[in-house]
Amino acid sequence: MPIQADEAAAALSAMQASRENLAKAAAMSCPPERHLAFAGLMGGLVASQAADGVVVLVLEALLICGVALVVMWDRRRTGMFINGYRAGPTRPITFALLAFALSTLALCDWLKFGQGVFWAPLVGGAVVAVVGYFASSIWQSIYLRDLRSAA
Amino acid sequence: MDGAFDPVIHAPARLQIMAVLAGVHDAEFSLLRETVQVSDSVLSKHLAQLAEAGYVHLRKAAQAGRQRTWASLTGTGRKAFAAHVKALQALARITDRMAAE
Repeated sequence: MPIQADEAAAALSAMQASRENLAKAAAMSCPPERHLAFAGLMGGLVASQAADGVVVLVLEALLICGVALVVMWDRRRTGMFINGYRAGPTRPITFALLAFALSTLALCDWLKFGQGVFWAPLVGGAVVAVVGYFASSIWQSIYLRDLRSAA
Repeated sequence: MDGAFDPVIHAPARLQIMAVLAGVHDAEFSLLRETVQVSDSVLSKHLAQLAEAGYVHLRKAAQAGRQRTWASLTGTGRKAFAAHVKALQALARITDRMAAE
């Protein structure tokens, strides 16, 4: 389709204006409590290992329900859903946090079952929650920067 | 991926809709209307055209007792959008070079 070069520049500029509007909407609709909710779920996953037997399964089921509730909350609050695994510069943060949480989970299980340190998952959960809070905040700032620099 | 102009995406409003949807997993109709800054009827028309081309998936969902429309890019739409933007960027660079000379 033949178009003029200045028309292409104008199209890119209009496109970027829309993404800037999206960035503004995304920035305003992600309060600290959203990062806290995410941190709580991540930390809860590790901390739940401190329980025994079927209680662990119940806690994990509740955490999965918590994830579903956060997704619903996101959609209702913002009118959008942003996948944490989206392609782009945010993905390394996602995978780094996932690797950290799973490593901590494995370490806590080893300490609990192998070394008898029954409270290890509680400490591990607290650490993962703190790291998760900051990772979520960093993720959001990288996401906003990505939107603003896309074109 | 090589850049390729896509006449379906090229219309300004449709390009803007695609750009917003490329930044999210899915978005609700009113958010799209506000970010693209078009009327309900214009947005509906363009979304229908993008859906017809297979670039956008539309779904209805009840929220707070009301039916709302959610839109997301399909895999085909994501690829077509990336190729179209690449073509626009290549052409825009010509403008930059001409301005510099």
